[in-house]
Amino acid sequence: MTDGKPRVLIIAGMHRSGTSAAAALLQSAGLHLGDRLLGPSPSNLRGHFENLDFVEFHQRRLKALGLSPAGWTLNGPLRFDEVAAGEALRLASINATTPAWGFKDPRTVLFLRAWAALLPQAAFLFVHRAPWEVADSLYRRSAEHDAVFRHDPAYAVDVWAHYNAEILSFDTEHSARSLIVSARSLGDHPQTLLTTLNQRFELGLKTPAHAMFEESLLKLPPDPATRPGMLSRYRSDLLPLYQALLKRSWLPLPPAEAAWLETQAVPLDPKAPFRDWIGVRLAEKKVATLISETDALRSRLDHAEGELERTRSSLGEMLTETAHPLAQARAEAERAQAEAERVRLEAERAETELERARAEGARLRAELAALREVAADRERMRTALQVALREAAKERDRAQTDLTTTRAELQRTEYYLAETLHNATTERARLQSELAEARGRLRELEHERLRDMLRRVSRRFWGRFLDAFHDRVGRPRAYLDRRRQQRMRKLADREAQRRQRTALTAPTFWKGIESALREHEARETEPCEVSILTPTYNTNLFGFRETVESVLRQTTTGWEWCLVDDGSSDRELHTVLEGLTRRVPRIRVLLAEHGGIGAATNRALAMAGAPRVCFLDHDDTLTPDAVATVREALNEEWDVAYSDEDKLDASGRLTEAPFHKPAWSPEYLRGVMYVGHLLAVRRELVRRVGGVRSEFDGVQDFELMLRLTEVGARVRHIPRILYHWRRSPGSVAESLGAKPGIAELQRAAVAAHLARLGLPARAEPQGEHHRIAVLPGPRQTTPQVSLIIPTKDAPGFLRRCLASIFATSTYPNFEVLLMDNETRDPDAVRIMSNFPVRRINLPGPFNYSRANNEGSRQAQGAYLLFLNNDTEILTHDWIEHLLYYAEQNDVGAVGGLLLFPDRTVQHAGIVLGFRGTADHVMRGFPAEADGYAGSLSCAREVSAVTGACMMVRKALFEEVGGMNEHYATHYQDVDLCLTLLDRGRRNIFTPRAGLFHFESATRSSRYDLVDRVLLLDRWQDRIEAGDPFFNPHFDLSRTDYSLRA
Amino acid sequence: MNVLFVLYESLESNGALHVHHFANQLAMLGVRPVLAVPSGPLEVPLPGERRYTVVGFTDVGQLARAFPDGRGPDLIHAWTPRERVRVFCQALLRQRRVPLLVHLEDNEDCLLERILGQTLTKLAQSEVPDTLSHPVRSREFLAAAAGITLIAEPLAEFVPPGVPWTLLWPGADTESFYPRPQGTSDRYGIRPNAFVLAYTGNVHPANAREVRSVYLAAALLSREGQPTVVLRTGKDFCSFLGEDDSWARPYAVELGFVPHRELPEVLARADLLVQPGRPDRFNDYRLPSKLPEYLAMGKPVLLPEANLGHHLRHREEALVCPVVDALAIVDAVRLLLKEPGLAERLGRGALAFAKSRLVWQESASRLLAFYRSSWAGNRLAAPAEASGVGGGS
Repeated sequence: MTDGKPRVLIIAGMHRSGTSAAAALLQSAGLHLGDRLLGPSPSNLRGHFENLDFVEFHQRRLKALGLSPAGWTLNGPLRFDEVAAGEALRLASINATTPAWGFKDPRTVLFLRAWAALLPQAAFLFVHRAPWEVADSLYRRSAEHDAVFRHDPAYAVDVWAHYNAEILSFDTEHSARSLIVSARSLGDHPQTLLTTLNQRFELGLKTPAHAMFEESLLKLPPDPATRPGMLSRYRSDLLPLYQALLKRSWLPLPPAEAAWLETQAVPLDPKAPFRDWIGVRLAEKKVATLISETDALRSRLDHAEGELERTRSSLGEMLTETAHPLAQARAEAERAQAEAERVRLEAERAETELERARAEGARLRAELAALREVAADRERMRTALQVALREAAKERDRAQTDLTTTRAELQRTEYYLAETLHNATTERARLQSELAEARGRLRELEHERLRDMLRRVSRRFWGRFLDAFHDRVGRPRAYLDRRRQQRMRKLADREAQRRQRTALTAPTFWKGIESALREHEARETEPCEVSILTPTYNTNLFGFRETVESVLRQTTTGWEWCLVDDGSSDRELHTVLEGLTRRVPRIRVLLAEHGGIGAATNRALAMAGAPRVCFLDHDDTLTPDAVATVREALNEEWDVAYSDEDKLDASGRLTEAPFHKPAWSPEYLRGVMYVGHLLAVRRELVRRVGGVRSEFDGVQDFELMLRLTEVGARVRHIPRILYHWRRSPGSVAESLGAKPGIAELQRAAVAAHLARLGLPARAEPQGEHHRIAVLPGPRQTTPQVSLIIPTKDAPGFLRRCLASIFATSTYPNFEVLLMDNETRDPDAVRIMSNFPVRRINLPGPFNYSRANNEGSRQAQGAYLLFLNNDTEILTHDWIEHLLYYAEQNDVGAVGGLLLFPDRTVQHAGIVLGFRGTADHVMRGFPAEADGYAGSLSCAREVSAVTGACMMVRKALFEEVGGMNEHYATHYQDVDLCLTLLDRGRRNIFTPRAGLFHFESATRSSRYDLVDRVLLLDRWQDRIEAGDPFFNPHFDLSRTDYSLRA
Repeated sequence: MNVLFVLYESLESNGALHVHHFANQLAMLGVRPVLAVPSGPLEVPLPGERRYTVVGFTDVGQLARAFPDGRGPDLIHAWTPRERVRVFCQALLRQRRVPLLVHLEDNEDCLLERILGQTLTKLAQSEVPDTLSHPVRSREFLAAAAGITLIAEPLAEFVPPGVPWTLLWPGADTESFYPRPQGTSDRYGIRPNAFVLAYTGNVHPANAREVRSVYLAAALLSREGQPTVVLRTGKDFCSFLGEDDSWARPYAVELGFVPHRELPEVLARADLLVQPGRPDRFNDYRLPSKLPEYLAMGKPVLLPEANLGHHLRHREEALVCPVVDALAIVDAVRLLLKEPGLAERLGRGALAFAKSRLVWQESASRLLAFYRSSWAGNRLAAPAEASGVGGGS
């Protein structure tokens, strides 16, 4: 292939001459023979290797010429018309996909010159075979298209002669492009042939591996000896043609074929026709036998078919007979299957039910256990109630006696009243007479003296009359109540005095505690971890006996008791104290000179050997586990602990509702002395702050607590009653006015505390409950405060809100940002322009958090004051109060006191757990009330405050990411406050920033459940842990500090 | 070696799947496993071929025959120390002294407190349902074990002193759970533009709040303009959406119990597979069985920094958040919608993790090695990594 053009090799020859074998060899050697090859057939099991494109093309051409498509013709050479030539070229171009290609079809012999003209580069390989072999092969093949030979067997030899004559003729004309090869040479020398083809036609054929082509194709059976003779005799014209072919054939010829070159004629074996004759007869006989056998077989087949038909018929009848039962059985089976399915579903349901039942069972078992406990509790309560009922019955008897006495008193009062009225009437008549006389004399006296005398007389008359009226008539119910209380207290005091008289002797004291002493002595002594500090002074032995007993009966013995007597004059007490320290080594006693309770406490502190100290009043009593509890409470995380409390009267009975305190609230402590007596502290910490200060005797424990907080003490609340405070005559517990100087001491303690902390505020006593108001002092600086008010229309609310801000507020440096959500109302728009405010448009769906966050971004002030537009400012220094707290570094949000228009509380802090989430506490309380232990009258720590009026430092607000905009309606303020708590900030409620909040007028009644669940999703653990500033003893279904049932 | 697994629930439970895979893998390693279950059917369709025998607790008399050689167990592996398992095992051990191994897959104390709503101190004095672990008896049971297998490392704090333990992660069933086209069919009635959050599993008191977070996220996203649906399977064993659940139902497609073999098709419909929760006394001590399946699906997975969350790379193999509450889910959805290609990257990473780290064959080999050391009484020989001896570690 030196010119680079594709080479074409056309393989042709008479049918059955070995062209397939040649094609197989050439394909194995790399000649591409096409993609659509004619497959194998019974006459050519290895395949024909004929490209169907060309075979079909030749067949169409032959058919068009009225010739046999198989190529059985003596016509030729044949040519292509113009259309056929075009098609032939198209086929050639389609198949010329490789550098060397070719095709094979015996029919090509009939079109040799046409192809030679169309494909000038084509070479031709002709394969021939002896005529008798070809004829024999055609007879044996006897294909459908070979039927012509059955009618005219000699025609096969004619066709052979025609094809090979064409080959010889073509070879003569195109010897350079042609190679004739005998089938036997092909079989004997395939490799040499390939070499020759490469040399002559530059086909680039490769040596095929033996496995790649079927060598047997190239092997031909030996010639039957009789056929050449027969042909030589009857078709003597064929011999020269065959010899001519052999002469032109590619050498080397096989010896058998080479011999034919010299052959003149082949003698016919005279027996050959007879052998054929007998062979035919034998074949006919065999055929007849086969026909007979076939008939017998057909007969048996017919019989078998008859049997089969009968069987089929019988089966049909049986089928008909069994169809009904079968249908019944099938229906039954379907029913059974349906039943099984139903049972399976039932079983699944039962399994589900069982699982549910198990879960329910587990829950019920748990509930049962809880109920058993409740039942046990109730049993205990029932017993206690029975005791209480018996006590109540006695109390009732006493009350009836009191009632009788009071009735008599009332009768006496009525009598006295009547008498007083009578006397007053008489006195008035007498005085009127005197007055008339005086008037008579008035004319005689100087005008000035007479006027003075008249004034004196009038005051004398009306003063006496009004006093009598108010005391006896004007307030009969209060009077009676007071009388009854006085009477009861008198009785209680008499009872206490009776007991005191009987207990005043040491023997009685010892007799009372003997049992407790013995029990204590019998117990193992644990290491001392708590020192109880108690100053005594002329202590009532009756109360002290109970105090001693409560200490001895502690569940732990890991304590010591440091008792310091502050110079008591009561010798009996000294005897008792000395006896105690002799009897119980862990009770240590010091009899000191009188120096006051503070000095005595410090002496006791000096005696303390345990790492924790615990203050205990000489007439208070401890619950049995009090010491163990404070010992556990003061672990490494805590420095100070305090507990809830209740009160006993002088005779040792509980007198009123207990005091359940909030978690550590330093702001609340400044206003209310709420921590109480049983204060447990690390000993070293008390010593570090200098112990107790005597100048604050009376509030010395409160003052100590204030100083402890100043050194960063970690304070823990124990929400359990650990001690009972005795209302002894003369104690604050008995009467708020019992210690007249207390209010001033308390104020001084708080003032000093504020000064030490550098807080710009002063302390002032307020009300009658020992409360302190912390009031902001004069300011050095006035940082700007930005009031952020989300609003939309509502001109009435907006006018009232803005007017109250600008008319009432005394703080000099604030701005107002109206976050306007598409206000359309012209009045509202006009109002906005009438006040010095910044109106910031906030289009789109209203989102409260987004409005406030955007307000924060726009704000210029360092402090943000979020305010609802349905509020009205009531107190002039509201901003100053809010700012005082917001300026403190550890404060997060600050909220004010919001009132309904009827002046009852709308907001005084938010408690976690109300309604399962959070809600306002003390809703509906009168604005002027003290609240629960000063919780409404004093500022205090709370978990959250309302966003309707909330101040936050801007930097802090931004630090926590502002308000959470995922809340659509509720709880964004609670979420913000809890986030601030999480950051270690305190949230403060102050009652001194007062506003009206017309909540009901603007608040939508729709409760947003998604907001509720969002709050729970973020804070449920904290909510369920309980609000630290709302004692767990209170009922969460009420907001008024009612005790839990 | 004849090994008897003692399961705490029926073959239909999640725990059964883990045992099933371990037993199958061990069988291929030459072990002859038998599984004892307390209740339920003994023939349940489980992934793949079953290469072990299942018996009921009531068939204990015929137990030896369940083993091919009729000898009975050489070793008992109790799947959790829960009461019904403990009682069954102790009855067996009275008859036949063989080594006992116990598998821990939960903080049993925490589970107990959450389900019964009482403190351990109180519960220690009382009976507990036999589906849970008794706070005292379970510890005695563990102390008697020759070895303990743990699904999560923090569970080592429950291993009594001197008892060897090994970490035993489950594998991912990658033959059933594998990436497949999401499909847009309306099979579940989900609108085509809806973002689909999938959560598969029952709801009980211990996980009620966490599942509620998924519903809440869907409600929040839908309210804020991104239609979102929770595609949920499993039963509810407690009411967790509140008395009025109208806020959540419109955004949920609840399929109820779905056979395990059908779960891959459900997961395939999702855009984000969510394991809600936070690191706490419950989540730190377990490995939710759904997580390997989620990862094997080749989809974005969101999970908290607990259990597997400590091992997956954030933004590469999963979205790992400190806490997966409603807002974290909302943020994750927004992130996936905003960052093209992230979902695909996460899916690839998750799948690679499942195929390399969650392989049943490797876990089973590790378990077999542990069996052999326990059987030989070699308590102190323990692999260096994630194994140890209780009390000192």
